[in-house]
Amino acid sequence: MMETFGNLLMGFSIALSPVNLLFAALGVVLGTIIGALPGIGSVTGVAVLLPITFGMDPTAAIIMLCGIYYGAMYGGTISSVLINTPGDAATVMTTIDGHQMARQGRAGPAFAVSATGSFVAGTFGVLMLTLAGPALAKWGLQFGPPEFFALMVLAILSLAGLAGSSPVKGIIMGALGLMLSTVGLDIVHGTLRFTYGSVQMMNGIDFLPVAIGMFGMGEVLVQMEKMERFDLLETKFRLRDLLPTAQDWVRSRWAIVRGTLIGFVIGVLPGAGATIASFLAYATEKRCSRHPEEFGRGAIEGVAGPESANNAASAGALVPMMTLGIPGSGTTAVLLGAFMMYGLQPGPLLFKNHPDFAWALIASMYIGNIMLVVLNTAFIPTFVSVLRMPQTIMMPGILVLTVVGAYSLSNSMADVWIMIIFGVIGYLVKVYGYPLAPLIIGLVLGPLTEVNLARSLMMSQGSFAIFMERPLSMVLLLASLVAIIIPLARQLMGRQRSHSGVSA
Amino acid sequence: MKKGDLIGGVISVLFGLVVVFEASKLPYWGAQGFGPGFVPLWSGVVIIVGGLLLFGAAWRMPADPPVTPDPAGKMRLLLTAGTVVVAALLMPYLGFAVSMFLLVAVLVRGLGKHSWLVVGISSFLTAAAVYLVFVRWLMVPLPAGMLGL
Amino acid sequence: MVKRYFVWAILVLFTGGLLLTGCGGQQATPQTETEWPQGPVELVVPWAAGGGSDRMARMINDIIQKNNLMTEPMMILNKPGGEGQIGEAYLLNKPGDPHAFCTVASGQISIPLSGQGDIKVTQFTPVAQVAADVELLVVRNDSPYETMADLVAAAQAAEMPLKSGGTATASEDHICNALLCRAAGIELNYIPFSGGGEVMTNLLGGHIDVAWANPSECMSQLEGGLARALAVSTTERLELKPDLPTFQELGYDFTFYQLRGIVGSPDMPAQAVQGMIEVLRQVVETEQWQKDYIEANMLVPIFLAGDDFTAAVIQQEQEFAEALAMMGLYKE
Repeated sequence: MMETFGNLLMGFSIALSPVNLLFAALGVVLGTIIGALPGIGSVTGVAVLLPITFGMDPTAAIIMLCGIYYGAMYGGTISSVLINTPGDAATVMTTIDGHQMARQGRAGPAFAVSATGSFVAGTFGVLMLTLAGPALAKWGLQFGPPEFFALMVLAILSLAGLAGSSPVKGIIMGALGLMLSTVGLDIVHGTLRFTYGSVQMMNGIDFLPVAIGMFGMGEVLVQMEKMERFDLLETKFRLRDLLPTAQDWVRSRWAIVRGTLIGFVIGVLPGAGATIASFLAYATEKRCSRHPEEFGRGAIEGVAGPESANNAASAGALVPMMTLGIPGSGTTAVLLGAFMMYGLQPGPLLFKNHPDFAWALIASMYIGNIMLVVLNTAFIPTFVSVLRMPQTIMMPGILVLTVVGAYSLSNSMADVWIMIIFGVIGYLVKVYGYPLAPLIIGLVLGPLTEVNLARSLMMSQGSFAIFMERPLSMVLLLASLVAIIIPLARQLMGRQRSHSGVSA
Repeated sequence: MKKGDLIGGVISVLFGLVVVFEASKLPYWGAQGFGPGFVPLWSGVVIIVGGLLLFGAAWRMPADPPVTPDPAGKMRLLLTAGTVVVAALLMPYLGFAVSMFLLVAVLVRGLGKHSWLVVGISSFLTAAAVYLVFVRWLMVPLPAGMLGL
Repeated sequence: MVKRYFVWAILVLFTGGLLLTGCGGQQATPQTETEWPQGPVELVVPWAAGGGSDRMARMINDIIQKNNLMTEPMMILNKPGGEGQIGEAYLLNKPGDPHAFCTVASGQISIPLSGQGDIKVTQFTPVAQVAADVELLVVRNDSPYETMADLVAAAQAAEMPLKSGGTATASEDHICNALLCRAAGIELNYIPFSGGGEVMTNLLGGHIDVAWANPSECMSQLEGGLARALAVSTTERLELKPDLPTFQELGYDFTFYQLRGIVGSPDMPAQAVQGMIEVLRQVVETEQWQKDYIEANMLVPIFLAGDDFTAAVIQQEQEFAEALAMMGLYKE
């Protein structure tokens, strides 16, 4: 413990040098901007800016790249809330309630709560990395294919409650998402599905162009037809309205704590990542909330939970990367490449061979999170003022961002077309009352569920007993069982109570 | 919603049938557990069942109240969606900067009835900002087109 | 209203005109002068940023810039997806373009052979192979298998076949697994994962018994004492790992190399191919290449240009086809 503290102190002495401070600041500012741009997320941001850092001092360079990484998690909120277009994969869930809050003139509180939650979560994540990195990483390794499959079952069943007012429509959308997720190359069987000879289709349907289309472009189409104005925003523009009320804080307090814990645990698991963490956090908040009916209509917990979760997860993903040299997410894979380009080998030897670098990086993350919370709070009035733009000028601008954002995901027009097609579908399903979230969830969780089930059965040579023989997967599957039984039981009891109430 | 849900149910059933038909061409079960056809087949089945339930529920619904048609709204909708499609079609030829400039110009003028000055400024600024941020700074190789922009 | 239609009319006329005249801007300008390059050189990386091919491309670009090896800038274009097929399709649509290149790794050769895509590396103009990657068989540090002999004995005695892991199905890892099984007369239950990181996670977590990996995929764990390599797929021992035996010397008769190189657009003008070969020749001779690329990733240095490279690609294609046929995964 004392040794860790001493190391950390040494790390701070390096990270606080003017050059490193400057690059940490540069990293978090760039990260916020990159996160806010639709399409360009932390993966692309780090990859694109990596070559620019060549020739720099390795410590400063990696501090900056990591700043971009966790800064993007803060920035992704901005476009989600303001223009209903997820800035980063992990902020899709934030769009659901965040944008509704903006339409009610409460974009300011949404940003304030999200910045606070992100700060708490990011700092907690770094603290855990500091104190218990190697032990946590070892725990994460227990998750093999059967455990991942069980976790996905739990996630899907707890998310089933997101179907909204019409469960049947939710089921259709979920199954559609699952079906769309099978398009492309099936990695386990090495088979092409639904590609019809098209090379572009081999890539499958990535969920980000779908999300950008359904949320971003779909919303623009709905707005353009109705041609409403955000009238509320023009009147409510005093400082007081930019700050969360006492009630907001009370409601989001525990959401931040739960989001942080869920996010960190999921982040440490190699291969799960911030997106799934934010899904689970949203589902948890809806379950725990006393106002579940407000979800989807601007519930502040629906912003606080997922936003804390994605930041905690991004810090959590650094745990296996730094202590074992295993990338736990897309961005950490790129960061790992960056480490190697500088001749730094992440893994157990990093702390032994380059302790000054490793601890300076950790220290810089504490500093970076402080910078980010200041930055993202101070600029709230600026972010919100975007909404004052006349809608007929802002909406075309959003369309440009969705097109360019979809293109930059993998530099291909195919993603632009996917985005446009799902933009039109997004309009139709919104008008006819189909929920969007189940489709996105099916698209993201479907492949992970399928692939891990297939791998588990390969491991056991076809026997389903493997899920019960392994304690962790058994516990998770039992938890999923509870996740279906409790709401069903509650519903039944509620019905009885209301019946007896009527008869009495 | 009755009419919408009836149509939605029919579309779901038809789409589900196509999915099931196509998925049945893929191996369903293999030596080591399920094959590549398993998940698509069952998701197709669920879509069909969901579509039937939706149709059945809508059938029992009371008839829709008459809605006031909004031709201007539909026109705006078509203009917006159409412009995006045309802009995306033009992108490989004109380059993204010109096509995005046109997209903003058409929509700002067509929807907002702003003056040509506002139209010019807003579309130029949007295209220029996207060019600077995405192409110059982030080095996204957006299609360049004839003008090299 | 009238004005709106006016705008539309202009737009429609504009579009129609463009489509009619076929103003593609796609055709390559005919090469008249002798200088190459005449414009920015585009190097397509058909894999995601941060991966092995991306690191190679960025290293080449960095060396070119630092040493002024080319008069025009080089642009690296990541077109990931479809196991390399999407980036390749992009290059396929630029026949004769003297400035469009693409990186090649062995996976791109094996993918079409198992019916996972149609585009073959041989459809492009070969430029050069710049390095060879190798395969290691890795176990956890606390694994009971100290040597290959231990592993083979255990595999023969096992009731349930031992579990091996690697990246993807019908991939280099999968082919190596099959080649070892045949050479040693054992059975290994191969589980495909989505990437090298996932393979190592599952190895360290004890979910698989052995793993196939390139040195760059497992170096952190090897050097950090988390995992050990049992053997390497080369003909001779690696210079950087002189203690690591090869499969061949242990009596398991197979060798395996993954090639890493660059190809040009189909029917690329000879002068452009020659120009790029010269640039790459200079790149691989630099100290930075040797130290920061070859040694850092534990690769085998090799440089094959033109026909020699073509021959290497064709030979590898044949070897892969035979192996995949043996595994029952070969599709015409």
